[in-house]
Amino acid sequence: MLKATLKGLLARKLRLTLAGLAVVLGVMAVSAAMITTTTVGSGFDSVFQTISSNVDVTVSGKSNVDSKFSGKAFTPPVPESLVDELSDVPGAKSVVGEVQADGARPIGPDGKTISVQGPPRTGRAWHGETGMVRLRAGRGPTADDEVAINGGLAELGGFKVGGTIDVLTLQPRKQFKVVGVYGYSNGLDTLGGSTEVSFTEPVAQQLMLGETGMFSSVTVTAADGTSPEQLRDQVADAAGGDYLVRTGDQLADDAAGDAMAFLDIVKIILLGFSGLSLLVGIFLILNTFSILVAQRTGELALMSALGARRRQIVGSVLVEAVLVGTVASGIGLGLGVLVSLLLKNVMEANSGAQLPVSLIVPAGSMVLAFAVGVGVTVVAALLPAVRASKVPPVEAMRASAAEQRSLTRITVLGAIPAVLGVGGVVASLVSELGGYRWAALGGGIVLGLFGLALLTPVASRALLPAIGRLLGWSMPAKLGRLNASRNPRRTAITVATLVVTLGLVGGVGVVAESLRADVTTRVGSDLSADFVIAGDGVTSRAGGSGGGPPTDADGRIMPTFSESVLSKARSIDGVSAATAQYVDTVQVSGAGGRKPASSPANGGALSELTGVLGVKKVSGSLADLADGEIAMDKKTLSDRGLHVGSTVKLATERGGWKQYRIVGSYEPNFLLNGPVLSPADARKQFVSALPAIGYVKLTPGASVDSVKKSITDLVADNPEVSVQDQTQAAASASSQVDLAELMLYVLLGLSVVIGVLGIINTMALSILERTRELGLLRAIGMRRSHMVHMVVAESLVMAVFGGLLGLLFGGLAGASAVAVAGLASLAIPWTSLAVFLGLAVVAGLVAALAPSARAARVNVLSAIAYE
Amino acid sequence: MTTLSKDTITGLAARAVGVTKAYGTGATSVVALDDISVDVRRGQFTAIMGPSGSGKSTLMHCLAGLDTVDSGEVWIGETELGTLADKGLADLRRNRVGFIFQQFNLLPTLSAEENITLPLAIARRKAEPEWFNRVVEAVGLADRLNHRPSELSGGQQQRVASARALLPKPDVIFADEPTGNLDSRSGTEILRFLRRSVEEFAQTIVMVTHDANAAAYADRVVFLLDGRLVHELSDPDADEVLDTMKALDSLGS
Repeated sequence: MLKATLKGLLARKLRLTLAGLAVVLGVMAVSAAMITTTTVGSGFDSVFQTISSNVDVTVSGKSNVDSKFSGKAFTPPVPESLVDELSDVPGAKSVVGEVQADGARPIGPDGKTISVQGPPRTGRAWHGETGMVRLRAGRGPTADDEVAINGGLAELGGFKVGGTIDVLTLQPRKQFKVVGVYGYSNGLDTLGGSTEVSFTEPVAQQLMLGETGMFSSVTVTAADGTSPEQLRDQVADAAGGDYLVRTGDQLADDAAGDAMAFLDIVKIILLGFSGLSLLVGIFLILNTFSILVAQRTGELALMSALGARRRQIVGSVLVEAVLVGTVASGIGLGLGVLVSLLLKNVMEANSGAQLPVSLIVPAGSMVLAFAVGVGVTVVAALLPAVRASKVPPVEAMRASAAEQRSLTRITVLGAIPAVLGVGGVVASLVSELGGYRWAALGGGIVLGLFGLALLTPVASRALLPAIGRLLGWSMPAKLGRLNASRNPRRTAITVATLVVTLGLVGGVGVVAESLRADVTTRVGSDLSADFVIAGDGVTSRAGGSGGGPPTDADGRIMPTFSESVLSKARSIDGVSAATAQYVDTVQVSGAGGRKPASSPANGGALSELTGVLGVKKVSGSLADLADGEIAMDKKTLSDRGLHVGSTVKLATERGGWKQYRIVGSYEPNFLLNGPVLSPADARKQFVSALPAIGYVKLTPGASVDSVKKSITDLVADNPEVSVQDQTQAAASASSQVDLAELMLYVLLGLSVVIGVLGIINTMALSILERTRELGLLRAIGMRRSHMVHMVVAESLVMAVFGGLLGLLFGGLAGASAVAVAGLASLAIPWTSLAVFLGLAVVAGLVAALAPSARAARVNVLSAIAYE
Repeated sequence: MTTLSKDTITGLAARAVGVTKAYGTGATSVVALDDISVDVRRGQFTAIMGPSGSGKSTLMHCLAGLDTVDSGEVWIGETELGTLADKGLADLRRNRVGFIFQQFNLLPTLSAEENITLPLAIARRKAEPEWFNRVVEAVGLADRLNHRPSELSGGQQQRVASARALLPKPDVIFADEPTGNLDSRSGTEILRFLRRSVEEFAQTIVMVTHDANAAAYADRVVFLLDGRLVHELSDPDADEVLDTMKALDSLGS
């Protein structure tokens, strides 16, 4: 039996290759995800391990804001006096104050900021060749206008000793002389890809921490005989509870963890892709084995007639599946290693990161990926095998008995989840389920998809003829259409990938378009300023969860601009008002036992802000605020149990807790939410003392273009900041949607590729199956071009059918989600949907290439020979 | 061009002139047709017979343009097939040649009527209704036109195939063991239909068969042995054919 199986396997190399391809892709993506994240992760670990290798204990400020919400870019500094306090700690050999923080953005020779994805852009105080720092050229900075930079930055920006470098920090753009270039004691020019600018200590304090007399941390070295842990406890006792005291190892772990956040994105993309391709792989394998088994039904029946048991028949199919799965998973693993190598090189090249590690292949994960690949194959092959074993030998020996199975049962089975699913969606739309609305919608969509899968065969009966007629009337087109509807189940499995993919695409498209329309409407109605001055990505971060201004909670440095821009703007002809908004994240203390909660915070001249942002007063006064006074949005007030006239404590990362009096409340909107502080308070308390968003209003009749140009000139020296009109601001505000949408589309684009594989697979197998029929067609006078036409028609009909079904389902699901989310309007991206359908058509055409060529080459004689 | 008179050419529906065909190369080469020349006269029912391996199927395939020849010429009417590319051959098969095979004769996705009109539909032509009705009546399928092949008996399927071959009024219909898969009653129906096509519609038919009774329906039987034409009978009866076959068998062994 085994020998017969193996022989059969070799005879069907082509078909099995197609089936295995999906498994190869899936396993490849899984293993690449594992290897890449492990490799890069251990690279970071080792980098931070080396950095902190000569740090025994470090003392830094404790965050005032929930770490969950606070920015990673800024940790509260510690006062200089702490160094003296700690110098008497027993076991401490040396106590040094460090200045080192993310956020020194160097400007390259092209006038744009030098951007590195992921690694920090560090600004620090120069302490000579201490720690790992080793000068490569020049000297350290001694004057306020001098800096030394690391070799990585020198290479990225082409900076040399004797030249100059412009840097953006908490303060506006400043120019420095480059007096030195340094590397590190491990021989590298950068630590994990980060750029570094070393200032003199007072300058570093001013630019990176916002004020002199502060350190970002204090490093304590242990005297001989004192362990880092002992020292940590000693230091913690001496410093008191206001500080975070960690050993070097702890610091390295925490720092590496932060830096690896961006790795998660890579991991999610790769794992998402692998999940999709394995899911699709199941369909592909299921389909392939169904067809293979159907073709062999006669052969299997002969075996059972000759006395093979049912178990042996199932076994023979499973042996095939295990072999295919093993080979495919093996190839997938190999390719995964190659892809990881490629990814590592790309990442190194892009970020300048010189990872001092070679590729690390985590054995456990590899075994897992391998097992998943084999498991998926076997499970997918089991179903057709069991079915084949149940066919009585006599029936099986009659030709094509397996093809004509009734669709009644599958239709009834599919109708149940479909009805339940539709019921769930309708319930989520019409009834007051409160928090359960999303559950009803989600459940409804999942059930609906399940039902759709089972109803696709029936749907194909109804829809394929109509679609086929749209695509062509000629005889070859008709033959193709009839071939596509010949076996509804097979067609259903074949188009399943396209249905799911285009369903997701359609749903996401509708939701994204509606979100965009919603944001645009809200920005349009809230914002009465003619121009917005903001850094790249600032407005795009506005209106996040619950609306309000952007915060630095996502860990990026908030680009800011100089206050003087506004005063200069006011003097431009045609400008009636110019005002600014400072933004940060604060923690609002709770009244009545409520826990503190994070909130976006704003600063600015309130009376002017309410004007340009269309903010409506609820109670109290929204006149300009004095120090210690705040206005608060109505929702936060009621959530916190506060009211106008009461006092509240707010904590900022930089300033710590402070008490404020609430003098007014307002209706929150897209750009203003949370407490509003006076400009003076904001400058003292917020991480950045500079405005993040500026608003400019024009006098009626002013020349829009010339004013825009004048304002643009004002921020010309700051490459991170630009001037946007309302439309641009709205577009920018919705750009987060764009990005999420794009990422998803890329992911789904990959699964379309696999969908194409699915169609190719079915087409190729069908053509092998129908060799005689094709020969007959050739014999009675079909030209080669007719044959190609016929196969292309079959493929196109299936692709368009799958595409339409998916888009329809996804569109409806998306529309329901839009309704449940309560967005203002339902916007349907017709163009995108048309493009996606076009993509399905292209997929159909591509899938038909090889099979149609094969059909055209069918040898008439061998096809009609019956010996 | 050969030097045959125009009169002779128009009197022939198909002919092979000095056709040689071998399969394989070198020591394993098998000569299927060995310098064979056959004329198929218009309006005649010709049967090709011979023992297995005598080259009768190969001869038919070459005559029908399904297979190429190594040397010699094959003509359908006034067209020399060697001058045609694949497209021309396909068009010739569609318009001027009809086929009836032993099995796998119909497309399972099409109804009987659609199968019958398939060659015309490929050429984007419509059947003349009067002619279509006559052909359908002749095969006795008027009440089965909307059935799928799977709903028809073997004999009925073969009659559909016969009607399909006849409908475009081809120069020649080639039938390859058309009764080989049928019981004797169904087989007889097919042979009667072919005979009737020759007599009523002046259709030219070439049939390969190994069945003496089937060959007896033909006007003329040619016998092949080892790729050569060895004997010929006119208006044969079954016994004559059987005797000839027996003689050939002993000659071959």
